[in-house]
Amino acid sequence: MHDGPWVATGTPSVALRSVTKQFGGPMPVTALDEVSLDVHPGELCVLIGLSGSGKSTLLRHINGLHRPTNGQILALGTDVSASNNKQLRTLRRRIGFVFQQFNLVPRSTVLENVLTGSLGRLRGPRFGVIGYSKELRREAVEHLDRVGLGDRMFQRTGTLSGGQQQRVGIARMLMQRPELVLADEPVASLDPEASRTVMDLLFRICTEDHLTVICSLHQVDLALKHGSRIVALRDGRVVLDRPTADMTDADAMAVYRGLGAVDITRNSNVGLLVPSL
Amino acid sequence: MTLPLSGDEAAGANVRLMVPWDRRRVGLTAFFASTLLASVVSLRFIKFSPIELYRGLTTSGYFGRALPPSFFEWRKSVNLVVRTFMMAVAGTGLAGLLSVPLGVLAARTTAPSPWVARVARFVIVATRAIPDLIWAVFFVAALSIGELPGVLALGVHSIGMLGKLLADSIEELDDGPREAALAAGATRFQAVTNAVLPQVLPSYVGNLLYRLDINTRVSVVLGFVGAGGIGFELRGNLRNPLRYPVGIGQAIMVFGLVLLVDRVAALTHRALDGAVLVRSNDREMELAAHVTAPARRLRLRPPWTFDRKILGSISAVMVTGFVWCSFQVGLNPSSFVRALAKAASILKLFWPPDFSKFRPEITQGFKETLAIGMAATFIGVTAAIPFALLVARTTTPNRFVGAVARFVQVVLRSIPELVIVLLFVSAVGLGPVPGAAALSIGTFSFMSKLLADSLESVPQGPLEGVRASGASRPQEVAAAVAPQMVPSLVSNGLYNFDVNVRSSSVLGIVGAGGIGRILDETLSLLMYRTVAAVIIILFVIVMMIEQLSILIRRHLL
Repeated sequence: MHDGPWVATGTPSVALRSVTKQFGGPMPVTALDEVSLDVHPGELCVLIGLSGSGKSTLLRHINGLHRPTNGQILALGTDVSASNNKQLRTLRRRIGFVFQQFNLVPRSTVLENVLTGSLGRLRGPRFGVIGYSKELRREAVEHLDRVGLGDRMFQRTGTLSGGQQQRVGIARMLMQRPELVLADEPVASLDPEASRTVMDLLFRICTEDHLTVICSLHQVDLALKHGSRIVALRDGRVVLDRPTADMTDADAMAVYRGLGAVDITRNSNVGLLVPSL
Repeated sequence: MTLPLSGDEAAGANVRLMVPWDRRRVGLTAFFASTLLASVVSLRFIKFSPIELYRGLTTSGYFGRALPPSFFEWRKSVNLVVRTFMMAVAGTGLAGLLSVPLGVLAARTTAPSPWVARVARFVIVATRAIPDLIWAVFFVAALSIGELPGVLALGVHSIGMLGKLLADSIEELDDGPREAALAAGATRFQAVTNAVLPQVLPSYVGNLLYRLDINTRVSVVLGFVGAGGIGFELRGNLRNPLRYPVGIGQAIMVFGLVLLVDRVAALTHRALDGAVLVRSNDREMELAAHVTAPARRLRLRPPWTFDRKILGSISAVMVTGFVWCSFQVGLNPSSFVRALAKAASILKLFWPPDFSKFRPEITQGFKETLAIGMAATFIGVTAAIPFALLVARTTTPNRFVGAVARFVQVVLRSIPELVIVLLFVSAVGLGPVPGAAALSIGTFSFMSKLLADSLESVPQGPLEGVRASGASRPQEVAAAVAPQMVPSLVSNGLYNFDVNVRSSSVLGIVGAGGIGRILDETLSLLMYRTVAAVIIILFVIVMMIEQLSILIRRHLL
């Protein structure tokens, strides 16, 4: 339903069909409400929205870390909602994930954390860097060089700065050799300077490698700069979906204000939804 | 609560000058009052009288008999002490190995299902609740006298403790790295081994060292029931007036061993902390120099930095020590499996538990055990409070007194409780009084250490505030320190009561009354089903005390 002219032809990399997620407990919360979304190969799709609007939940449905209450999710041709654990593992191997809190093991070396990205290809556990083959180690160093941290490979990860840790997170993601990249607010815990560096790096690499990206962000300016398409969520619903290419500064400001208005007036704001241009 | 602050209406007469009785205050007062009452009742029940204890120690010619200690046949004694330590190492290592899967299964985040976690938690609770000496008695019954039953008893009893600590630290971990591993397509098993275990490793090694320290003390007394080590000899010598000085000599050797292990464990711990938790800048520089060397492309192995050398050598010593000691005491995979099979077959004899025999004796035994536990806790804690004030650096009158008090504390803590019991029994005769006296010494040293630690970590601001108003030293303590100490006092006191009830249940095995005497007798009569009944009751009582202290801690502190 959001098909527009910016969309590449062919099967989408990710397709959500009326996905609803309710979290149980004494106070049930609807985190996703009938979300439908197609993301096509090569797209750089940025999700924006306030905290609690469902961005993280949506991302975690695509690689099956969460299961939907209702609806269907297709990712890289796999029906995520109908997969068993083994199929999910095979799928996750092909989907890179960059986390807000980096999710690195602080005590382990940088190289070992990058190597963790190859576990999906390996059988059984690995203990320490020397548990991985020489080829894998060489590959990991290449990825580290690519994020500019080749000289830190044997440093303990916890001693790196936030921006550096997120770059290690990107190298770990590359180690998976993914076809699709999900990034959950990759710069939310970084200062502005580091945010810029990390975003530039992430999107440069993904563009170079022709990876499809779905990235959630808080900063609308970064979203406009890096994304090819912006999707806004509010209370688990898609309230805006349009390409950034033909968005002017004024449009961007409208998006900003529109989102602000959504927050303040609690209008449904469906008028902002752009089915096709 | 409406405090009439506008004093003009009744000019002071109506003003409340008493703290209002809220729920917490009522609860705490009731708690202290009932503790006091229970302690008095307990002391009367076991007919504890300090005067008679003193008279027993002095007039029986005890010190004349015991001194000077003799090191007759010292080679044999040293050999026994070394073998005792080997048992401790093997048992601790065994528990270390087995507790890893158990802890992973018991932690909510890593358990395959909540059901598995619950079963694993139950195993942890059960192995911990049954005292080590009872495990030793059981394994001796299954495998006959020797070192292996002792090792298995240490192992099984420690699994629970190590597993609990591991599960707790896994649950406290940030779950992010595990999620990341799963997101990268790792299996659940890989996620645990690569994202969870590396993070809990330092605390795990620390716990292992601490456990080795405890197990060294325990392994000394396992011989009392025939489970190897120096205990068997020690018990015999301390019971025989002619060989009594030899027994004292051996007790001194044991004391030396425990002190040595304590020191080595503390040093290792510090080295680990230094290597793992704190990194100095120059070490960082050393590392940087390593990796920026021109040949780095060829180097795909981590460099041997100072940290890795320390960690590597500690782990190497620990692993080889464990393997070698296990070999020495006859623990290997095949003997382990065979022993478990035998233990399982003898387990049948314990079923179904028989609650019908010796009813009055069992009731009396449990009353005595609870009374010993209560009395020992009361005496120990009461004596520990002023002593802790002498020890803590923040409250000690002067540094010399502090150092002396600290030394006394360390010495008392190094002697295994059951050895103290034996000394008391031989001095004042059989019965619950020597048991209570011995346990109270243990409580005293343990509690004064804990209290001193929390005295030192109490916020200094209030103390400074009171000092600034011109208060004397005792006034400072009463006004600024004591109120902050109540939570630590209550929760550590409860913990000590719990520990003392468990320990007092085995005192009877060395002749100090309580339910242990019934256990010892029924075991020697091979009445395994009655033994099972006693153990079940003990288990229930221990669980009830634990739940009670959780409740009190939650609602009063």
